[in-house]
Amino acid sequence: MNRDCESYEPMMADALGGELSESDRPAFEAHLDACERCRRDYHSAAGLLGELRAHLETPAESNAPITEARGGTRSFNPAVLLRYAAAIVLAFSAGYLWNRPATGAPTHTQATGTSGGGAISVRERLVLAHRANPDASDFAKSLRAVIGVQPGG
Amino acid sequence: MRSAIEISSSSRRHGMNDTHPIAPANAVTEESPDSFAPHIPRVFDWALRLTHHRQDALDVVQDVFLKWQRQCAIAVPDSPAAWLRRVTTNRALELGRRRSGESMAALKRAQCADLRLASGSGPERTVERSFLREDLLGAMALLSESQREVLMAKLLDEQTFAKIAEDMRIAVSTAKTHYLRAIRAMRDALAPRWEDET
Repeated sequence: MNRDCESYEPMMADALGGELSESDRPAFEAHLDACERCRRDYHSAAGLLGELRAHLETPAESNAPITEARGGTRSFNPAVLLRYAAAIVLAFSAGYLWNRPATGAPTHTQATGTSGGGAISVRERLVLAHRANPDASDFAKSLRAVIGVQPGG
Repeated sequence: MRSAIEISSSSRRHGMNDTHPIAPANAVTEESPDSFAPHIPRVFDWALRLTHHRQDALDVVQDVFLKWQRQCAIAVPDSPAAWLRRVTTNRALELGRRRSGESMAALKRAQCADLRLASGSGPERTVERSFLREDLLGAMALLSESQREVLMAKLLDEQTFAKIAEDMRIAVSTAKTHYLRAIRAMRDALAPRWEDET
């Protein structure tokens, strides 16, 4: 930096600090036009300051991804709760549709065909079989009676 | 680190608003010179701008508050704003250094080192900007105390060189010299990155 450039240092500071007076501006700009070194110095410094100012702006609360990356608190979002509720309702609906009884075909009863018509439950058939054959009181024998297999047959 | 409740109870004794740690005081004129309350919004704003993280900013405010108490036990600073800005900046830079040393940040830096980033606003750009931020704050930490003080007064509060010189009790020309040297020192420190990006 030569002596001429040094004399423009206060103006350089003023220009970078936003305080260059109108009276000094023509002389400073003329020097930048004439001195490539000072021109590059000024523009690179101004670029750095612009970057610094951009990074020192007050951040908006909503666009702070680093906040979450660092384990910051997350705000309650009603839309998320609604999504969970909708998922639960859909799951129950799908379960119901999957397991709903077919028309005219009861799932929890079976037609007996041997107990005077109508349909009775498996549990009732077990009770009836147990009563009809009290000697075969264990569950296996009763079950055998239920499915129509006679002992020894 | 003290909890918000502890700070709140302590703050009441020192004139801080007890409903919110960053709420402005209602009656500044009634505050004693060593009251921290009138300065809280400004300190929080500086801290938030430096850290870009609300919880970190609150931590910085708490630390500055404690340092303010210790300082005022000795003597109230001649220029409270300048003192607070200096302490806030230093504390935020310390916090930034600690953050940048965390293993996850190092990992992300390694993963993103070779990214060629567009000017968009995608996640890579966000991560890259956070790294550039860390580099900027890291370069700022390399400055001398006076250089950093002048630079921060300009960047955070847009103060004139005359006001900065008055607060720091230095000549205006010295303030300008600190300013230029600060910018050039940061530019030199960031030169490798700067050249990559331009």
